[in-house]
Amino acid sequence: MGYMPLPASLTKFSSQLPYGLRVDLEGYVNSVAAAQSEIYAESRVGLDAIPTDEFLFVAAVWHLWTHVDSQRWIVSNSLRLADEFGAGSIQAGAVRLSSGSGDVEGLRRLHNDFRRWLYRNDLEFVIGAQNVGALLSRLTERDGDGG
Amino acid sequence: MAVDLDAISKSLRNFVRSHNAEFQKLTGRQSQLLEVGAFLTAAKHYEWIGYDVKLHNPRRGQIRVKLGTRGHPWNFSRFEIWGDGRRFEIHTNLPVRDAAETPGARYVVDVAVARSNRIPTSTPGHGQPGFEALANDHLITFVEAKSLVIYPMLIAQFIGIVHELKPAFLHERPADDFIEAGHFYPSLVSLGYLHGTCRNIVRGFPARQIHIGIVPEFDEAISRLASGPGDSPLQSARATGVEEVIVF
Repeated sequence: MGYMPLPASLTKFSSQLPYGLRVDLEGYVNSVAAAQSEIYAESRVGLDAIPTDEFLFVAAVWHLWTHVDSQRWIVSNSLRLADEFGAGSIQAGAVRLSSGSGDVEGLRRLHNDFRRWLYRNDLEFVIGAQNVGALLSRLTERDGDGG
Repeated sequence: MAVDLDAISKSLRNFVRSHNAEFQKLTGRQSQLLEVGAFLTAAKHYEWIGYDVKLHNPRRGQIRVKLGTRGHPWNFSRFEIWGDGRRFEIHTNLPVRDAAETPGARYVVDVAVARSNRIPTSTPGHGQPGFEALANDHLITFVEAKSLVIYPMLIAQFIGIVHELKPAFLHERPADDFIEAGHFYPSLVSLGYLHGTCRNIVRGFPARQIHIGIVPEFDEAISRLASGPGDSPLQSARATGVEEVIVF
């Protein structure tokens, strides 16, 4: 399957991501681009209602947010479960997790900073979106409200 | 209202650059964290259905999770679970012989529920047989963790894994003892969501006598687990009935 070139607005920031994360994110956006007409149709959004570049950019931001958010919750909840079993920390290969450790605090800061960035840039609606169709609906509402 | 994508994109680029170290770590540990979560969730599953659960072999209060194929199971933490006269163990990245007991053939499953006392708890002594893999009969069920969106081909691949390890779950009603014990079906857990057509595939499992679990968005499942008692995200016939399937 041939992929369309990704918007410059997306590659401008994705090029700064670590290679694995970049490949994952751009691959995801390509799959969204390929299904765009179906996504718009299922969400009952006209193809001209939200420009493609904007939709794909927001999808990329959402995908990146879910990466950060899901790790944040896995780490904090795994530590909570480990504590219930009498362990204060977890080691898995090179990953060492304990409350207050550098890795855990770094992830918490990234999560908080990213959340703040989303709010500052009027993109807080990506938080909690369950799927890309819901994301599109939220984006349509925001743009329709003049947001 | 027109959105200044260029300005937002530049801002995000600067954000990513300023948090480069954390994004590097994010990439490097995703799979490991998913396996940790699957291990703890498997233990919680049994605790919630009434088993006693004990963590064995922590090191200085630390759960040590085996990743990949290297290392011996006795050097890592495991859970022992018991109740109603039954006793099992939960291990991570455990080598298991295939269902045909093909000589030399083994698979390493991310989370294995095994009959108790079938895996050495320390280095076998001189003259004692070494441990290479768990005999297939001693594997009760297992979890595979993938940090991917669940597309149809991933489900097909998992069905292939089940075929190699526990093919009975693909064409037979689970044994009464398996159901009564509350074991979960061989399960695929993922951080990704369930792609559209996959729901139809999963809905079709009971009619095909396929008894496996497909659990997307596993981070949310762990979040619910950690907030208190509730339903295990790992499907068991005891909870839902043999003819039902959970479609997330």
